[in-house]
Amino acid sequence: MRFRFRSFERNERTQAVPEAGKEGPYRVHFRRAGALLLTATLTVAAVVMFGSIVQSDGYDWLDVPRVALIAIAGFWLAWGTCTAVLGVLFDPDPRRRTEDISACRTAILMPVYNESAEPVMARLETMIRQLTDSDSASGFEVFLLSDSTRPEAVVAEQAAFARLQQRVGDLLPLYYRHREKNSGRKAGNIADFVRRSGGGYDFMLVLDADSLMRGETIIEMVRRMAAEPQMGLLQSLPQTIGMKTLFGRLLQFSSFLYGPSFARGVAALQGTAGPFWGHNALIRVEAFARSCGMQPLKGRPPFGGHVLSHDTVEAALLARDGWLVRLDPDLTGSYEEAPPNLIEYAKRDRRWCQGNLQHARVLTAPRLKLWSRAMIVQGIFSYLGSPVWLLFLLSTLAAPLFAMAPVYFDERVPFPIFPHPETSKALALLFGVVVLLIVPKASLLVRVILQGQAKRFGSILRVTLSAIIELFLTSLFAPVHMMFQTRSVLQVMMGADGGWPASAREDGGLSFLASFKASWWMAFGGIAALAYCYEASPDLLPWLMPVAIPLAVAPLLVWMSGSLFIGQKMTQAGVFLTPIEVDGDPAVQLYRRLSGEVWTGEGTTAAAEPSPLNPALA
Amino acid sequence: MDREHLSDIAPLVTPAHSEGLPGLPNFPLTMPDHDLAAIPLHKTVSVSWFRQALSGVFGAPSHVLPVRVEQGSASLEH
Repeated sequence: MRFRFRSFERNERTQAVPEAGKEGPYRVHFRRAGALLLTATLTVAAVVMFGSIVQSDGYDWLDVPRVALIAIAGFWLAWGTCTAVLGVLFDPDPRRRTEDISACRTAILMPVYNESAEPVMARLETMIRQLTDSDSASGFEVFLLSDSTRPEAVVAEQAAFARLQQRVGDLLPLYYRHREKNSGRKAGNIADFVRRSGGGYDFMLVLDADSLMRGETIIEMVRRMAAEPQMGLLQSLPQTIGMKTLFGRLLQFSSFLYGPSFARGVAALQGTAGPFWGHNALIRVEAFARSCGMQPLKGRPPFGGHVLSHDTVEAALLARDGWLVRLDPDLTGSYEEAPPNLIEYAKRDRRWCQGNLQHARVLTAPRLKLWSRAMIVQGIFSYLGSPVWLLFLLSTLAAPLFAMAPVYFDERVPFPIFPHPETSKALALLFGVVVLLIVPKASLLVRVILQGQAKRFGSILRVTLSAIIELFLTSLFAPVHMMFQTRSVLQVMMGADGGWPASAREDGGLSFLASFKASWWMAFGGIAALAYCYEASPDLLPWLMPVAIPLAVAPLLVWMSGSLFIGQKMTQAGVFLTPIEVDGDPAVQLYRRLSGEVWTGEGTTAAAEPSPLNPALA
Repeated sequence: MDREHLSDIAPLVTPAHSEGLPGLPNFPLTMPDHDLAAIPLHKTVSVSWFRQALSGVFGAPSHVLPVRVEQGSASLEH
């Protein structure tokens, strides 16, 4: 009887929400099943190969966790590859849209938390001017939702907002609100808006303080959502702009070269339960109000309290109630900034790590869609993957200590028995791992070249060279990133609440001392691992070096990551160029001009996107 | 679109203005907080996930009987 009652509840909920227009649901299921099958096949192949390698000197107890760890790490790696390859093969269907959106009311929400006020206002002014340049701006209103806690930040943003109102207040309605207590952080900030004012709006465009969107992109999102009454959330594809350091420019280049294809891969599998990345997304206010209110989780942080990475959970809750949640990878003209160096990246990652691991408490919440649960698991494993790889490396280093001595003579056999060499299998496994790492990026690069898009990155030569350097640098940075992530996971597991300090978004460099303080322990670990390996098992040295050497020089790598000088030289050499720098973008150009001439007073030249190919932007 | 039709509760008595700047407009909306408490994993896996996976591949079952709820209890409607 209880089962029937739950069915009734679900029917009632489905009737309350217009029926989701599933576009070819079977194709989505086939894609998911195909990706899962291919991932499982690759994983089994890796496990079988590794199993035969470790048994060459006889099994010992350490081989069991080693095989289990390679299975977990291999599955995660292969799944990422399959998603990326789907992005190469898949092109989304044309989307429905409504031309007349004059009746739609859209709130543009810019939440801020102790941010530098002037760049935020420059972005808002850019978007307002872009929108009002079109014929479809009548339904838009702009909100600055402040959660700032530092009095000087509040005073600065209020003064800047008053100035913004003087400049563009006659173009669109502007509102400012400051919360005395920032309960629930960003999710609480948005929920407060919905409860006070949500009834006045059909849609809300949720931004971050570093968000910038083209006016035409915002209008296109409203057109698409207005055409699909069952749509609860539409996520655009945010790409990184404005970076000057080596690491920042590397991330920026990746977001333009690989980001769209990766997003197509995610979209190929999303069905009606797509992702929400927390910003640069349009949300139906009614759907959000009905479905996305969240009680704090029982217990104390890091696993209890307010849900930190609320975006994934909000997407799952919308999908749970029958609303369509969709990522449209073709919605470009959506920008954000990124951490300028490895330390800032690790600080942001620490917060995301806590938020994603906290999702373990939400994983079995009632009625979530299966794919929503899969996305939550994926988020958790994006952080657990690092300690899994590290454990695998450590257990492999320890394995020779437990290996049995070879037995050359057995009384049942009349001739000596030599250990069976498994070098070829080990090399094949290594080759397989490298292929899984390289194939997605190589195929995405080939797609860009074949589609004639290479000139948007400078030229075929420049984009290929940039991709090779990107691969080399990410291979160097990967062990450092692994160690930072492992430390974050351990901190969260031990119950340490990282809190939510404001991210430093200034595109500044790092001193070597700061780099050393942040990463000396990795250098110590890397050197110790090399020394141990040299003494205990010299055969393992070539296998260990790709990980241990970057760790041994981690302070240098961290310092390099924040280098403005190297970033500038790379740009001058035409490496890591993006379409924004080569072709220009009206929104980014307007933002640079407003930021330099009006808001920060640095002048247009200082704020311009650097490009050796487009003097108009330099 | 009539904005007042979207609000489902009465406007707040005091508009939320801040420091002389235009505060939030008054169009309150009910936003209930949902309990995300986990249900036991084996129940989730054995019933809900399995059913979702099957209906996802083969479509929703066509023989679902309508149910009627009277005074808090559920019964089959023949």
